[in-house]
Amino acid sequence: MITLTIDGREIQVEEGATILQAAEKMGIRIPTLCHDRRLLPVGACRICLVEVENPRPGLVPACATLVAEGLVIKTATDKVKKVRKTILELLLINHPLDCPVCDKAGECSLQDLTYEYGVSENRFSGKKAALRIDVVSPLIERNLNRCILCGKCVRICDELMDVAETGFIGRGYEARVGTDFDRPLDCEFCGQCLDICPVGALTSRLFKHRGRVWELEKVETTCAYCGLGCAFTLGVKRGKILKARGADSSSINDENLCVRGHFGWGYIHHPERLTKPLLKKEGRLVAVSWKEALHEAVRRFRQIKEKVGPDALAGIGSPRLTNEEVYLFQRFIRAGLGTNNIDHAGGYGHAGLSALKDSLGYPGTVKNLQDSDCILLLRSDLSETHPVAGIKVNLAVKRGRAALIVANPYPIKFSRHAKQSLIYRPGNEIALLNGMVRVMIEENLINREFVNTSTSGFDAMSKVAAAYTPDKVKELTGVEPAAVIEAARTYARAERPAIVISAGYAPLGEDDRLVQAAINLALITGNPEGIAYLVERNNSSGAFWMGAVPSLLPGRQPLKNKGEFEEVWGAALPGKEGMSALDIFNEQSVIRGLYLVGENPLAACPDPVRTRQVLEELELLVVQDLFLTEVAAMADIVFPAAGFAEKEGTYTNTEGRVQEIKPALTPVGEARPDLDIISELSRLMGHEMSYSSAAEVRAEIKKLVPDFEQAKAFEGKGKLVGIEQRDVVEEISKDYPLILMDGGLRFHSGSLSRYSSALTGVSPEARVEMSSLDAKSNEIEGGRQVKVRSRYGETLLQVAVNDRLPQGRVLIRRYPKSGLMNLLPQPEFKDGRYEGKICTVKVVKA
Amino acid sequence: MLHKEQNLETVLSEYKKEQGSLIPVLQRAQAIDGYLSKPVMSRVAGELGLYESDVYGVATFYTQFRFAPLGENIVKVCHGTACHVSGAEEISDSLCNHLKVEEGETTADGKFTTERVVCLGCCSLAPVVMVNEETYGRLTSDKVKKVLDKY
Ligand code: SF4
Ligand code: SF4
Ligand code: SF4
Ligand code: FES
Ligand code: FES
Repeated sequence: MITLTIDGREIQVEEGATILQAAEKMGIRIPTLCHDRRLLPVGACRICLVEVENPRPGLVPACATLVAEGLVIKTATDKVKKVRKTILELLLINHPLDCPVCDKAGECSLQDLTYEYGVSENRFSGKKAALRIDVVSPLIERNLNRCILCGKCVRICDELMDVAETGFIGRGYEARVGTDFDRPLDCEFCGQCLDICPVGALTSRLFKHRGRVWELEKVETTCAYCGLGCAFTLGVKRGKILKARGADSSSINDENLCVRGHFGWGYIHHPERLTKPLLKKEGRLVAVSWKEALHEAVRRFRQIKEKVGPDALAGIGSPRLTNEEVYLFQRFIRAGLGTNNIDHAGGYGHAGLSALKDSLGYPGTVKNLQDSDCILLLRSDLSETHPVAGIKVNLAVKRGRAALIVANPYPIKFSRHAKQSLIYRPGNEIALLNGMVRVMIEENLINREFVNTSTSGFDAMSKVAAAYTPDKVKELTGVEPAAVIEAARTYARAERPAIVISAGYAPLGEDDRLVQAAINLALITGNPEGIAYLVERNNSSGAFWMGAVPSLLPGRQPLKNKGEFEEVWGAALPGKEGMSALDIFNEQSVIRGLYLVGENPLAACPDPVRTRQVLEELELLVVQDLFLTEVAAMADIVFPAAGFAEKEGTYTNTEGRVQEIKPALTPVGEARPDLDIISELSRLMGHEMSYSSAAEVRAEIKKLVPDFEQAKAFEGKGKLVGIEQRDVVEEISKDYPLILMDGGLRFHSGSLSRYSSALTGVSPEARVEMSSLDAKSNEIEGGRQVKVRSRYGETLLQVAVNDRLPQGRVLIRRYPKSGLMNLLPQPEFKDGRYEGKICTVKVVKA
Repeated sequence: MLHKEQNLETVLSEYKKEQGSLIPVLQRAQAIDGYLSKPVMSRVAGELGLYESDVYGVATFYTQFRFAPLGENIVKVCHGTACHVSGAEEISDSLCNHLKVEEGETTADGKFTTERVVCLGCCSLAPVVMVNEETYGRLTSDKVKKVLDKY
């Protein structure tokens, strides 16, 4: 600890802190322009100058000067004030002073400081800049005449995003921030630069001339796209969201946001939002009253229940719903309808969560990622799937010099910084991990003590791993033996290694096995807290934990524990295990009435033809959603639901953190929060539910699920389980010569993003990526339309030639309407579980 | 075209992944076409493991680099101290208006490229303009137009 004096008061701070940090700790404000907590200090603008009295008198920039023992500082002397004022005058020489029309007004540091320091006239004069305003780049407007060259946008784009879209161009008085050859932005559109800009040089097109900052009501809530659950603040004016900004330095995102969080919420105001309940009459959906729609649903649920029995009914919820909604939904299905036929469509994709729960006791953590000294990025194209977690990887690697091992079936953005890039044969992750485990055991790189005290199952596990010799791993994965050995050593020798896996990629249904194989690696080296399993949707974790699964009650309690639930719910519960989403859409489906809440199986399940057939044969289809999705259009009854900004509740993020969402708007039209709809339906069905708020539902959940807030860290007991690599890739033949890989896309997530014009506006058209060699041998040119055909279906796409892609593989990202699901096989039911396959395809000219 | 491309490849292969070699690479790359085009700079960035914005930023910092093809004739307008006080700014304005370009740009017909320089070493003749190797002194806004007519 170091003791120094600031403005007459003593303070103790840690070594390595800056004067600015010390002052902040004491609540003393020092103005800054080029400084941001998240960036490395550069000390460029000098507005933060403070006076040193001892030891060597003079002025120093507070943001870039480290504290020293005995330092005596004054932050607001006349001298300091005068210098700050001069700096402002110099900045204002070429600043346009168009504050009345500038969208930053109200949160512009330059304007605020000019006012604070009373700069009313300028002793200096010079040419005002006359740069062309960038009106072409999407989402972000750049008016560099207002730029004060603080460099924060350049640095955040480089240091955190690792995009480096812009840089300083030219020099001296002419220096400016821009892209090469002044082209429009063509980047990740995270909007980080826009939020960090202290002036109006970078502003949001979505906010342009829509209001003034001080008119906005600020609502702190949680992003509803991916499983990270970034904290953000919405700016709302007259019932419209105009802005979002990363919030809360204590949350997972540390104020950062990706393009979806920053710009993707516009779907909530989409003109096609459902505003009234709909009922199918004479083959057409017509608007009806809530009363009519609800009564009709209840009448027909009852009819089926009485005629065929409760197990002819089923419900599928969505990992987009809040915990409270998922909980009530499963309660309604179980106690109201009387069946355990309940699931959420993404469920089998997130089976990794159960492995974490069962073998590690907590859901993994992202928190430590940034401080890791070695990161194994396994099947995780983070800049596309979880961009904010990608920031942590960038920081660990670029700032912390962590050794990065990228293991992915195709090169990704992070590959450029990788110590090792292991491109393996799709679907063979487990072989790779087992291979690494074997090397570690062979070379005695494991933490015996930890294995002995904190794990079980080592011997059986190592027996399985022993078979994965470097040569066998090479045969399965294509990765060279030396590379596997090196990766194992790098990981094992690191002090704080981390493994990152993103959930829900092919082969579907394998994630629990994959995650267990990764847990083995983490546990034998004694690193139970270095594992991050990143789920896809905002509440994938919650849906899993709140019992939207056929075999488990809330809190993952087995059906045989139903007594306690029966007591609280006041109803008898079915004891027979229910059907999963995959069973429901199976050929032998016996479901007659289906209730879908926020889920579109036509877009989310493989083999849409089969799925459609099942849906068409239903006697009753009730859909509850924000939009008339493809599946809602087929429904008999449609309930209009409220979106994330129109309701209250909680989401559980990928780390198991329970985070609140707060209503920023009233629901559009007659739309209602899912919570209301479900409880009313249940009441009419004869199963009483009455809650006045989400908090009340939460209180009930906590009674039944004591660990509603799941364990946040390893609690001392881990399980090692040997996992064999299955053969998951379909046969490669002349008819289907290419392996199909599916990938994430940062501009989209599920089905809501396609109603966000901001996101669709910057997202490329759906494409299939091919290596140039494969393109050549198939006589296909980039940009052309092609047919991608698998054994199950086909889809029409544009080709993008990607030179970095390995030969023999094609990549389709999850664009809306990519037709990816048409190509994928239905997982097969084998030995009591569904097993997905990675399919092979052929690409032919359209 | 093919020939030039090969040249760039030779330059790049000589410097591949060598730290701090950006400026010599850019200098030699510029020598091939007389300017640095976008594709050339992306290649350089890719090969040296840099971001394109870094390469562009460094290149624009130095006046020696150009980003558009040169015109047939180079018109250098002196803005050194002596020329500055004798009205170099007016000369520049008049020249640019006449040629319909901004300073540093090339005319649409590719005939002239204007450039701003400091002190051509003949201050007694200020204000001075140099066209290719020829120096013209004691200019006025009208005279400078006549000078151009010769080319
Ligand atoms: S939007 Fe993001 S990626 Fe694009 S320039 Fe700004 S910081 Fe960089
Ligand atoms: S655009 Fe904004 S953030 Fe970027 S350098 Fe200029 S003032 Fe700073
Ligand atoms: S990373 Fe995920 S939670 Fe964070 S802003 Fe992006 S989509 Fe939202
Ligand atoms: S804020 Fe400290 S120098 Fe800019
Ligand atoms: S100042 Fe122009 S020639 Fe010297």
